Amino acid sequence: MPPLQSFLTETASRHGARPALSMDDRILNYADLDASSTRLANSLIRHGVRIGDRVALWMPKSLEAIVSIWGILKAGAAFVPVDPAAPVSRLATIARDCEIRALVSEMDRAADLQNELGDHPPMRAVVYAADGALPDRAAPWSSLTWNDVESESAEPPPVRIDDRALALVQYTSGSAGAPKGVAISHRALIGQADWTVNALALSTEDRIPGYTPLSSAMSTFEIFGGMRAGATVFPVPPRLAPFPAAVAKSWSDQRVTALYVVASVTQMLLSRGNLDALDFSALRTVVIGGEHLPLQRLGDLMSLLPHARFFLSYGRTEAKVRSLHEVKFPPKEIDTRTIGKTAADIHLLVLDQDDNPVADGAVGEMWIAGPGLMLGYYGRPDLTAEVMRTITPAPNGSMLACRTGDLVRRHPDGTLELVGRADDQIKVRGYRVEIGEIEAALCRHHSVEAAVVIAVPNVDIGSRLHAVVVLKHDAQASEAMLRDHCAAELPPYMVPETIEFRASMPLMSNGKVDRRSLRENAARLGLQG
Amino acid sequence: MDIIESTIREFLLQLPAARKIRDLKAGDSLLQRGLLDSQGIINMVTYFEETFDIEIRDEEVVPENFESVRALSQLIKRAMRVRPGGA
Repeated sequence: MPPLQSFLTETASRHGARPALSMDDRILNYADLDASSTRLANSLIRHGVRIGDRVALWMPKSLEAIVSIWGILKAGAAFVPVDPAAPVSRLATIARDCEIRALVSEMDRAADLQNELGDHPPMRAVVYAADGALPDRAAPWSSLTWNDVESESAEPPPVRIDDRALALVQYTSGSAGAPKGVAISHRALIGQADWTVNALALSTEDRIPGYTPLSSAMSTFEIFGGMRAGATVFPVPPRLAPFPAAVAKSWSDQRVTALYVVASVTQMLLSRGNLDALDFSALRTVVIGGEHLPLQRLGDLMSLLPHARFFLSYGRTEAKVRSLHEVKFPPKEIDTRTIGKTAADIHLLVLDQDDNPVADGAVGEMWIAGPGLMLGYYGRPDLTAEVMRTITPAPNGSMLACRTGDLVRRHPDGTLELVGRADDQIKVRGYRVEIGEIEAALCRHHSVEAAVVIAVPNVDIGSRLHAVVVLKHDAQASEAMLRDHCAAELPPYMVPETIEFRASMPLMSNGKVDRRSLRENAARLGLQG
Repeated sequence: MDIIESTIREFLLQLPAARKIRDLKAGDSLLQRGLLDSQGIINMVTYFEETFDIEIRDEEVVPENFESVRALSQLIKRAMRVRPGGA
């Protein structure tokens, strides 16, 4: 099969005049996007980028950043998105880990790059994809401006690759402390894009915001799903992104039709987005993913947007699956734990500790098999072997599969219910406890907006349960009230011993709750007993 | 410098992203300096609401009102004027 970029060329030839990207007051149509990205590909090739190379992207979301993703792919290379808010030292770690050949960044990061990477640069070229003058100091790499790129030819470069090639290296935090690069093929991204376009019936008429950071696994939905359909993508300007009401208003003004947000952002929009005052009549599809969304908040959002279809989505960085579970109003508790449909060629296996299938109704770990799997952790066959194995029996006899760490149960109707994490499972006073069950109980209290439960290690009893709770706007509740509420639903060993109230949950740059910082804070507060 | 501006400055300078910043003038751009993310904005709004006993409406939580210490101070003063029994 042809690689991912054939999408863009195809869409540009059929709908060249249609807007592909719109941000602030700038619009780029499909023909322009196709031509600009080809120019960048030619420029990268002129500066030594070859098929199979890695090219990093370290800059805030912008039209140029998205042009760059396509340009890197057209050069036959893989793109490596690095969180623009991450310090230059993290970029350096990643750049060395996957030996990038070139970097796309912006001018006001030039000094940082020279200080951090000037002595032993992994890359040969840096493209500064925003206006500004090149730094005076000579850098040990070729420095290019966006003007240099624009003067290249728009003739497609003679790059021949197919869908088995490496397209993306996505860095995720590793349990050993250093980030690990998840290597993703063109095939995995194409499969995910085709599935989302078909399942959500996306078309050229759709208008889709781009809110998730390019460095997060979820952004491939907006970029590749949206553009596969020939839709218009509205990247959210970094200046606007921190303001829930401003983001919501821009989506209303843009008359967006399909939306993908992570659960914690959904909560932020509900509490501070001023949603009930805005017109979302054009919005027909809402996909919520990333983490568990409390039932009550899901219901609140569905009531505010009665014309939209709602899907809860499950995905993994290591496998481009993006399941979709459609929820009907009023949502039920089981909806928030259901793993929905996936593309027909993706298989979700439920296995026991010896990799054997478990019976329906029993809890096992979910493994994923099919063309969405990662190629492996970049340069780390040891880590790859820990999570990827050939599983027999599998639907196609034997199949290569990747473990998820998620514990699930298969119901008689074939649906999968998420019951917890294999690695978050803890023991409290000898009992086995699923953290998610306690969080769900707290969230059922009418004053609670969000709750996170953490196990704080304790030398005497193994671990103590500590809850961090965000109350709804204007709501009141005391620690004693919430403990009483839990005690009414849960066995005593599952009731949090301490509850800490916060105005909001700390989030990581991908929008998920930062559990590590909560744990470290709890330890600092002296809760370790 | 009034008490409102100094409270704002105090809050901003204790943020993790403010490590490198020694001085913050009333007109300096807060958004360009990357001091504030969505988390920081929500924490700050809650903090000002509690400290000054005001309500900042959702639709006022927009970039224009968080552009600088001066813009923030004007936002807070406006909110104090509409406060029940406020001066």
